[in-house]
Formats: sequence, C-alpha cells, structure tokens
Amino acid sequence: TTVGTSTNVDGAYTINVPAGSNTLEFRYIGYQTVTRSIGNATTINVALETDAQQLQEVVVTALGREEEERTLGYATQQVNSEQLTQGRERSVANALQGKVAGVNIQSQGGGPGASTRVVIRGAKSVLQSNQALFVIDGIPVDNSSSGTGDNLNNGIDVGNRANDINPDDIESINILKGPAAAALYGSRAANGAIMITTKSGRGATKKAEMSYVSSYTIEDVLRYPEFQNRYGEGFFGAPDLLENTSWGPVFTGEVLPWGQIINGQQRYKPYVALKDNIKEFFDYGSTWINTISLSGAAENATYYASYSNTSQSGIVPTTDYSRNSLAVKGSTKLLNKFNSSVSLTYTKSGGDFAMTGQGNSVFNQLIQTPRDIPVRELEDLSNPFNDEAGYYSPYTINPYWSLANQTFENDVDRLFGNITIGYEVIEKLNVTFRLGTDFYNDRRKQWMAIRDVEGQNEANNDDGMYSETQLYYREINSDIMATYGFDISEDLNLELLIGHNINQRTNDNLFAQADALANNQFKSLSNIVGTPLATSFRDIRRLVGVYGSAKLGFRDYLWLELTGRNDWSSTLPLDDNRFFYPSVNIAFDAANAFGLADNSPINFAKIRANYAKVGNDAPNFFTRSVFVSGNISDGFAGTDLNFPFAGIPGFEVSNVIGNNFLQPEETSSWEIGADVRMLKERLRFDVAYYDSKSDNQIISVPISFATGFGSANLNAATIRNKGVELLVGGIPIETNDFTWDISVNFTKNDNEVEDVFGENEISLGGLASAALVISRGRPYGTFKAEDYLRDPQGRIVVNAATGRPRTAPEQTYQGTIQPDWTGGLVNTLTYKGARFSFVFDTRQGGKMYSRTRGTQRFAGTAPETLFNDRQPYIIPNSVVEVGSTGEYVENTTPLTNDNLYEYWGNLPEGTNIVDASFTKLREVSLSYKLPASIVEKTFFGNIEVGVSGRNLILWTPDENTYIDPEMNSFGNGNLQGYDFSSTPSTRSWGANIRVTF
Amino acid sequence: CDDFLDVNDDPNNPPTSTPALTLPAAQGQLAYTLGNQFQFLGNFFAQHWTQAGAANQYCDLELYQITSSSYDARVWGELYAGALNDFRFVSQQALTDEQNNYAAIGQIMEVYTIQVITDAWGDVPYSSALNGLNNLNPEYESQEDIYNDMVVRLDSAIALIDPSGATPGDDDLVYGGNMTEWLRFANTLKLKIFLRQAYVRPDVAQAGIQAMYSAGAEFLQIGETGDIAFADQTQNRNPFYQTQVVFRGGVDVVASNTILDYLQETEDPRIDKFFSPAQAGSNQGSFVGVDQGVECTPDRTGNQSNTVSKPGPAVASPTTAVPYITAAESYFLQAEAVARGWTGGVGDASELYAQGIRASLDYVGEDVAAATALLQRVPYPTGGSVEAQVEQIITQKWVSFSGTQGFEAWTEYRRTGYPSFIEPSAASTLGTGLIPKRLLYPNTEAVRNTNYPGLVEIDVPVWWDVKD
Repeated sequence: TTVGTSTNVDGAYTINVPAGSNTLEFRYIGYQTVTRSIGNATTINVALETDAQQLQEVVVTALGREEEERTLGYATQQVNSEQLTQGRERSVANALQGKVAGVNIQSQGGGPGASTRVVIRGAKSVLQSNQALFVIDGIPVDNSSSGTGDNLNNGIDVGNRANDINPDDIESINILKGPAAAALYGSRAANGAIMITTKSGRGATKKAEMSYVSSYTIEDVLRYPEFQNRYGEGFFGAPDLLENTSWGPVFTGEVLPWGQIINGQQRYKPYVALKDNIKEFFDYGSTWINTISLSGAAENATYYASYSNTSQSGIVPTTDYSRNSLAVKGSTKLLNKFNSSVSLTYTKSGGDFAMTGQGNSVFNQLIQTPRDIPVRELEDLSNPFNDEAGYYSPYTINPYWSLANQTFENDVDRLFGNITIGYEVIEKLNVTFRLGTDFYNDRRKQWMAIRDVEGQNEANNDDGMYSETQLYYREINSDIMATYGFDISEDLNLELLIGHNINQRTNDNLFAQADALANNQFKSLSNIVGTPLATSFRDIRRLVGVYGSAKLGFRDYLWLELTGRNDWSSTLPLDDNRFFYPSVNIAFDAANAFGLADNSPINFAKIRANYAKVGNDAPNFFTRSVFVSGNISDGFAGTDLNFPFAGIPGFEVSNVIGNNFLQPEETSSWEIGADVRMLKERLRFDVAYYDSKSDNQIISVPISFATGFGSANLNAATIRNKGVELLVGGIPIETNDFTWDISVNFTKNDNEVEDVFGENEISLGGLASAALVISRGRPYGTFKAEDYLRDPQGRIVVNAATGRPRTAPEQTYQGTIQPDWTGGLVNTLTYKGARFSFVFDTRQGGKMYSRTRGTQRFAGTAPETLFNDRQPYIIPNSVVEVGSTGEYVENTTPLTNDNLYEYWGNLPEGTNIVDASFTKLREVSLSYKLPASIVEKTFFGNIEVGVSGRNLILWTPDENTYIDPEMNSFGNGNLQGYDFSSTPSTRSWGANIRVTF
Repeated sequence: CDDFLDVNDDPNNPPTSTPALTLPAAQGQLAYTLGNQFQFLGNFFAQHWTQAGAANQYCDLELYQITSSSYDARVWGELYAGALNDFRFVSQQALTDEQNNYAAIGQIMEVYTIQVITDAWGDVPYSSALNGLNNLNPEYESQEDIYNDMVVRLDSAIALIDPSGATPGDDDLVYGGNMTEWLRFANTLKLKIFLRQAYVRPDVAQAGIQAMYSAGAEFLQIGETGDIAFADQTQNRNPFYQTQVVFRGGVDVVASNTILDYLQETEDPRIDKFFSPAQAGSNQGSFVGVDQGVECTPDRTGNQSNTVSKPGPAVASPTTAVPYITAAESYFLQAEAVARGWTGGVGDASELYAQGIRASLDYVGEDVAAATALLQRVPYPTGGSVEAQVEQIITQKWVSFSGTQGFEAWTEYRRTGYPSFIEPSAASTLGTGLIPKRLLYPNTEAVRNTNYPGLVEIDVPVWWDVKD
C-alpha cells in the first residue's frame, strides 16, 4: 500500500505509515526525488536538490499555473534564461528570434530601441492586433507600439512596450502557441501568449546570492544598399552641381569644383566615385547593459531584487536609447494557510530617435547623395558650404543638419507588477487572489527648426514645428481562482479550477503642436506664431469573465482537460455583451502507457490533440455612430484642413457607421501533435499540425463612398491559418566533458483570407500606388500595386514618343508579405566550462516593397541603372499602341540618355516590390565559466566570461541589393513589408561577464 | 454589472450635431477638395499651370496618366462621404428642425457638389446614394437624369429660402446667412447647369434659361462671389498654399506659357496677381513660363522653379479663398445666355462680358478701372457669330479662373473647346489632340460596389461633352 501526505509551509510533515512499509519517497516539482528507508526512525529529514532536467518539464501555462509539460494537450515551447541572454540582446522579443517554431519574430528597424513584431501561427485578425499577448508572472502587460507621424512622412519607430522588460530578470519564457493553450486567458490570447516568468530567488542554493552581468556590444550597419560607381553627380549625362542624382558623366578622376560658389569661393575634389561615402555617415553604435541582482531564500520566504541599466547609442549619429529598470519580487508564507507574493518592476526608458520615411529623413537624404559627394565633409554645419543656404543641393537637405535640427525624444515611466495572496482552505483546496497593474506615461517631444535662407535652397524653407505628446496607459487585472484536486479512484484523479477575472484598460492621450515657430531658440509650445493645435483622445474598456477547467488524469499517462470561459465585454452591445467559449485537450503519454521506456529506445512519447474556440470582443466604440470634428487631408504632412476653421467649429457625419448588433468574434482551432524523445533524450522531435479559423471578425468594412460613408462596423471577415511546426533536436555527442546539442525548427503556415464581406478589399495602408490589402482568396497582406500597361501578349506597352513604359490604369496583385516557410537552427556545444552556441534563422518566400530601390533608381545610384551602360536602348519586348485603338506594334523608340532618368524615376511602383527571403546568422555566443578550483580562491561564487554577436551575416536573393528584408517602416502593427527609407538594420558583437558572489 | 460595463460611449466625439455645427464642416471640405487636388488637376489640364523642371511631382498630370487610384478616397470619398453626405445631413436635419434657410443652403450645396462629381466622372450614383447600410451598392445613374434632378432640387431649395426667417450666422462660411445672396447663388448655379447642356440639349437649356429670365431671376453681382476664405492659422490655410508652397517648397508648379503668352499678348493687368516674376536666373524679375508639359519630356530643361514664374499673390497665399462661383463667372454665364439669345432679349452680352472682366479684376485686387484699357485689347465681338461671341466669353472666363477655379476651367474647356489655342501637353500619353475628358472611376468602387460599371477610359467624353 502507498500512502501520502504534504508538508506544511515550513516543510514539516507527519505521516502514519502502515506496518510493513519500508521506504519514504520525497517529491516536489522541480526537485530530485529522494528515497529513504524508514527503518525504526521516527524523524526523517531530507533536503531536496533541484532537478534541472525536471525543471524544464514544468511549464507556466495560462493564468500563471505551473503544470507538468507532459500532461498538456497543446503545444508549448520553453526558452530558458541562458538561451535568452546568451546573445546579449536588449529586446526580449529579438532574443527569441530563430529559437521557437511557429513564431514569427521580426525586428522592425535598426534604430536604437526599435520595435519588434511577434506573431504566432499567422495573422488571424483583419484589423485588431495579431501579436502574441505578453504575460509577466501571470499578469497581461501592454506591448503596444505607437509610432509617430503618418509613417510615410517623417515617421519614427519609438519601439514597442515589451522593450521595457529586462531580459536579465527573466527566469524562463514559455510560449503558448495555439488558442487551446490560451483559452482560459480569453480573447486577448487568441494570438497565443508569451508567458514570462521572472526570477524569484526560488531554488537559490544559498541564503543570499548577488550576481552582476555586464555586456558591451558594438553594432554597425548590416546591409548597405549596393551602389553603382561609374557615374557621378549630374543630369542627362552632363555635370550639374545642384543635383541629388548620379545621372552625370562617367568618372574621370579630374579635379573639379563641387557645390555652390560662396563668397566667391568653391570647393574642389577629384571627380571619382566614393565607394563608401554613405557608409562613412554611420557611426558604430554600442549597447552597454549592466544588471546587478540579489536573490535568496529564507525559511519561509524568497526574494529577488535587481537594477539594470541599458545604454544604447545608435548607428545614426545623435540617436540613443536607454532603459533603467528596478525589479523586486518576493514571496512569503504568512500564517499557516496563507502565502503571498509581490512583484513590481519600474522602468524608465526613452531616447533620441531619427526620422524615417520620405521627406527629410536622414536615410532618404543619404541614398540620394551622388556617388562622388564626400558625405563626411558635410558634417561641419558651421562651414558655410554645409549650412542651410550653402548646402550643395536644393533637392535634399544636409542629413547632419536634419539630425541637429529635427529631433525627437521620448521618456517613458512604467510600473507593472502584481500582488498575489493564496489561502489553503482545506488540503488541496486553494484560493488565490491576484491583482496586477501596468501603467505608463510616454512623453514625446518633436522639434523641427525654422529654415529661412535665400538663394538656391530657398525652396526648403520651413516655418518649423514643435509638438508634445503624452500617452498614458493603465491596465488593471484581477483574478480570483480556486483550485481543488483529488483522487477519484486509484487510477483517476481530477483537478478543478474556477475563476473570476476583471480587466480594465484605459488610454488617455494629449497632443499639442506649434506648427510655425517664433524662433529657433527654445523647444516649447509657447515658441509659436499663432495658436497651437491641441487634441486629446481617451478610451476605456472593461471585461468581466468567469472561467473553469477540469483536468482528469488516468494512471499517469492520459489526461483530458475541459475548459470554458464566459466573458462580458463593454465593447459589445450593452444588451448582448456575453459570450462563452470552450476548449478540450487531451494528452497521452504512450511511453508510460505501454512501458516503452523500459523496453525500447523511446523514453517519452506524448501524443496531444485539442480543439478550442476563443471568443473576442470588439474594438472600442464600434457600437455607435458619431460626429467628428471636421478634418480633410491630402496625405501630405501638415496640409490638412482641420476644424475649428478660423474660429468656427465644425462637426461632420463620421464616415464610419456604428453597429449596435455586433456579435463577438470567434476563433476555432484544432491541433494534433506529438512529442517523442528517444535514446535517453539523445534524439527528440516535436511536431504539430494546426488549423485555425477566425470567423465573424469585427471590422470596419470599407463600403462604397457613394453610400455617404467609407466604412461600416460589421461582423464580416474570415481568415484561416493552417500549418505545420516541427522541432527536431538531438545530442549527437555527449561525453563527460563535451556535449553537442543541435535543434532545428521549421514552420510552414498557410494563410488565406476566406471572406472580407464579399468581393470587398481592405487596405492595411502603404502607398496608394502600392498598397497592402486584404482580399478574398489571398493571403493576409497582399500587395496591390501599379503595374506596366501590357498588351494581350503581356508585352510592355510604351509611350510612342518617349519609349517609356505606360502604367496600367488598374492595379494588379503582386505577391504577399507572408513567407512560404521559416526555420531556425540552434547549436550549442559545451566543453567543460566553455559553451559555444550559434543560431541561424531563415525566412523563405514573401515580398516587400522597397522605397530604397525606388529612390536609388530615381537617383541613378542603383547598380541596375547601369543597364546597357546608359547608352540608348529599346526596352526589350516592348510595343506601342496605335492611337487609342487597342492595336499594338513593335516599339522602335529607344530610351535615350536624356530620358533615362525619367524612365528609372517613374517606373510603376509595383516594380519596387522585391523578394523578401533571407537567412541570417542570428546569434553566436561563446562563454567560459571559470573552474571551481580557481573561483574557490576568490570571493566569487561563479565567474563566466563570454563574447557574442548578433545578426552577423545576412544572405538575400540576388534581386535584393537594397535592404534587410526584416526592415519595416510602419512599426510592429499589421502593416508590414514596407521599407520606406528605414534606418538600416544592424549587426552587433561584444563581450560580457557574469559573476556571482 | 451593466453599469460597470456601460463605458462604450465614445468620449472623444459627439453623438449628435446640428445644421449649424455641420454646415461649416461640409462647406470647408468641399472647398478643400476644389482648392487642392482639383485645383492642381484643373489648372494643369486647363494650362494655367505646368510642372517645373527640377522636380516631377505632377508629371502624371502632364502625361495625362490618371489611374483609378488617383482621385479615390481623398477626392471621390471626400466629395461623397464628406461634403455631399454632410450637406444632406444639414438639409434633412434642418427640415426636421424647421430651419428652412439651413435646409435651402444644404440643398443648394448638395446640387453644387453633385454637379462637380458628375462633371468629373460622368454617370455616377445619385438617387440611390447616401443611404448608408440601406444600400451598400448604389446604382450608377445617367448624367442626364442627374442634371434633370439637380434643377428640381434647386427649385425646391429656392422655395425654402425665407430671408425673414431665422438665418445662419458665421457658421455659414460663404455668405454668413445672407439669404438674398444665397438666392442669387442658386440662380447662378441653375444658369450654369443649363448652359452646361448648351450643346447636348440646347432646347432644354434654352427653355430653362428662358423660364428663369421670365421669372425675373437675379444672379450674383460684383462683390457677391460665393467662396470660402482660408485663415493664416495652423491647418486653416489655403490648401494649395499648404501643399505646394509650404510642403513642397514651391518647387513644382509654375506658369504655363499657354496662359502667360495670352496675358502678355493682351497686356492683362492681372498677370502679377495670377503669377509672380521669376526670382532667380537670367529672367529674374520678368514673367516667363514653361511650355505645357515640356519638363516631363526628353526636351526638358531641368530649370528650377524659381527661374520662372510661379503662382502669384491672388492664388498662392495662405488666405487665398476658394470660390464656388465668382461674380465674374456669373456675368460670363449671363453673357453666354444672352449671346445665345436665350434670355428673351433681356441683357446686353457685351456689357455683361465687360462686367465679368471688371468683377475678375475686382476679385484679384486689381483696379476695376483698368478694365477699360484691357477691353480695348480683348474686345467683345459684337455682331460676330454666336460661336465667336461664346469663344470670347469663355476665353476671358478661362482667364478669370486662373489658379483658383481650375476644375471649372477644365470643365468649360471640355464643354466648349475654348480657349481654342490650347494644345495637349507635350508629355501627353494619349492619342493626338486628346486632353482628358473625365476621371477614371475610383478603385474603391471597383472593389466595394457591385454596381461598378467597369473601366471607362479617360478619353471617353461625359454626356454633355458633345462639341468637337
């Protein structure tokens, strides 16, 4: 017979053992099991040691529950602290790149503090967020990314809020991939969840331990566009000292004047290509991260405290980012039946960022620079040849002037954390209350100085602008949960959970702008001619939910879990705001069931299957039509007509029709998978196939403007994602001193928009001439762009007079941003105290729009503009239309040197769409832990030194000579795949040290 | 629980409005479209302006390369869902509230707006439009039917005008609630609607105009231009000024030689109001233009915009007004009606023509007395054929439209073929002698409206455009 008991919080226990019993087994999750013989002892004390192997098998699931991984009927993947921090990446999301199957993680820009997008198993929602929910210690936290401007014009990537999380504070991350895993979290987790568990001091081997981690990494540009180096500044093949284009003559090496004549003087330089003139503009960036932490465990308590400082300086001069965070976490067992824990993190972050996009952005100026202009010589703004009036070209502005005089800075204060109180009512019946909050204030200041000069550069004169934005966000989350577990019979046990959740999220934002400055002397809203423009925006949403789960376990090899959740949401019609959704999952440990572990090479073989529905509520304020303050825009910055108009208020009928009959959205999915390990864990694989359908989506459906409106809020779209995830790992070599661990992950997701309100099409944004749309029967995010006019045989129709291609009157579909497949390769080699790891990451297929390509073509700096050495040529296979007859004859008009600029500068926008495939050497790290024999002689507990590098090599298809395909100028929202003069991405390398005391 | 969850009323926007609060928004939005995208389009097609050498932002207009996305959401969308739907709200809400003068203004402006829409695109949704969810696929209606109904709707609006009743104040950005002027505006608009049909349905046009004159209709007089004044404040400035002069740094738009040659030939005193002299280069201080479209061809000079004339003070200032109908236009319309002999003998075409020129001088801030000398150089062809008289009237009307009423200048050119000296842009990609005759239906209609009639090419004339 077997009997059992549990210890109290102090670890004390009593047990009555039946006669004849001879051993006691001590078990605790995450610790090695200890068996002692009883003999005649009346007191048996044991100390349990942590079990690294087993620890990995316990994962944090929805609501912060800790469950044994083998009992779960859905896919999760855990990433531990070491894997996360080996590359010394400041962003948690970036640190996951290449390491997780089924998760698409895309860093968006090369600026300091830039944002990252995390999408699990494909985009599901037309308009709402598709990103995974970030959960820290059981509490959802905000990960929004609110960029500035309209992105096309002078936008700034201010980062996403997950950047506030310090990777060094993280103990582990568990990724819940499918709706089934997240069903208990409710609507927000339909996109999966990134469950972050922070360090707690639990499992500390000493009473107290102090650790210090320091790393310094240097970064530079990963991918420069390729440039032609044969022709220099000019136009029509002739020199022109004003030009921002390289359509001039062939380089001669002759010493010639350049730039303007100022005070009768002019600069001279040899007329040669400066291969690295763009490269020289960029600095080496650096990131210095220092984290000091204290942790420990006392009899009834654990604690962890850390301070971390991250200082990043960007590759673009003057840009930087910093993050300071203070975290404290503690838990204690209060009275006999109470326990409590608290976790709080304060973060202060922010930086100085550079503009991207068209207009005055630095990169936009740079890539238009003629091949012979020495960029570094433009740096000294006190030089009369470099200032606003003296700068060589009226068509661009000095990028150094832009950096010095067009600034953006922000400053974020953020606090998130939770308090948890638990009470054990009776044995195995626990009640837990957890209250969490997350709030921040993001203060932004943007400045554009007045330009007022005479002469050739007059056209760039500007009245200046100053604006301040305050973004305030607050989320409150409360959960009360009761869990009860009991054995129904010897073979069956049941774990029950019921809970109640309240969630509230509010935004309260203010924006004020002075759009004509009085002078250039101070950055304030009072520096203004006229009156400032001010707007405010606030919203609130609340959700109340009740949820429950029942998990039935059979003989330690079969588990069946049922969950259900019912939500009431403020964003749905008040009289019909309730929705219920269930899930079921099953896990079968075949190895255990059939005793495979004992008589076959298979140690573990779990088969899992699940089905889930997850409901979702509506965006804020979708239920009612309103009037809005009059505004009309043409898309150029600052050119709107905005009411009040000369002091007269005006409110127009909103172009959006509200709907008080909205139904909740529903994502239903099923998944099957297997997790098999064999040869004593030397070989493992995990495979999953899933199919999820997001139905009844609440969107603002675009409707014909002739209806008097532009859109109506309706339940109207369906998106389907089907895919395969495969993770294969192994330990090919394992000796006492040496281990090689390799794992490969592969993801293929097929995404299809099954319905968007009939034949309708929704634009996610981008350019009118190259938009990213959602269209029935196509993947989410398909380019619809201008194309060549073609005759029925597909030949390019050109203008008979100029020989230049004509643009088709209607746009065509030109590929999707969705990759065909993605994959990663992680290798870890350890030899005694040394550890070497490298990660490859690849994405194959998919397209992107590159404005860099468009600009380089127009400016004549792209290598492709050397076609036929710029001698006259007829566009191959081109025709002209006879009158307006629809008859076509062969084209005989060549492009000439005189209009090559027109040709390359006016190609249909669709021709700037390129293959976005890439492979990156994502991460390399080498660390060495000093042997105990040396460390023992010091006062250190541990010393580890390392070097690491990230994004060291990038491979792209030949047609992309322009940019890193991960770049996206529109931040980490749904509008992806646009290089719109983004800051180039970076590679980094550096050294680090970790010591403990 | 219900109270706790009752937080979904948008705190940022009002749930209701009034005619007084919505009228200015509608008027402003219409003026913005006319003064911005349609100003560029019209003044390029009517050859008041052309693309400067050292830039190429508006080469599409010189190439006549208009696509289905060119005038989509920001023009078609704003005209329907912005101006037209808001005027409809004003007129309907005002009838409910028994504010007849607001209802009259709303209806007049609805007619004005739908005429702009149909003149640009031909057959368009009308009767079945503006019904929201009740008709998601508004049917396209013939321009002829729309023109018929515009007259009916104007008559109904005119009947609502009650100068002794409650009138709007400053919220009427056009006339500040002066209903007498609104009545004249409505009559002038009606005259314009009839004259647009002068070639396609001369009998209908004649009968309609005859009836107006028989009833003693009054039209807009000097100083009564219906326009929207812009203000030199943040995002209240003239849209052409904001877009071209400020945002684009004035690098694109310069004087077309088509109009500049004519103004110089006729020694027109308005030249320095419509244009400014070259600021730099060998022609500094003098008025020089660019041949229409040439800077978008291989023959381009690449010269910067400041070496030639740019739009001048009456056109490109922060406060430049955007007219719906000018007093000058009113006189030119009347002159044409008289010249065609459709007024029952009322009016003197030559004098109305002269008044048109005076009103234009007045509007751009020129001394009206200068008209006397100008009229010597651009005399009215009294005794000439009707077509000769119409040609002179339209040519001077075209001058008066320079830089401020581009859309109407292009539209009247399409109707009449005058000024006869206009030749297509040097950069034209259309067939010989062709200037665009319409805009392409927008892409949003193709994907959102099942009644979308399919591509109608840019060289297909609209219904009233029948004259060669």
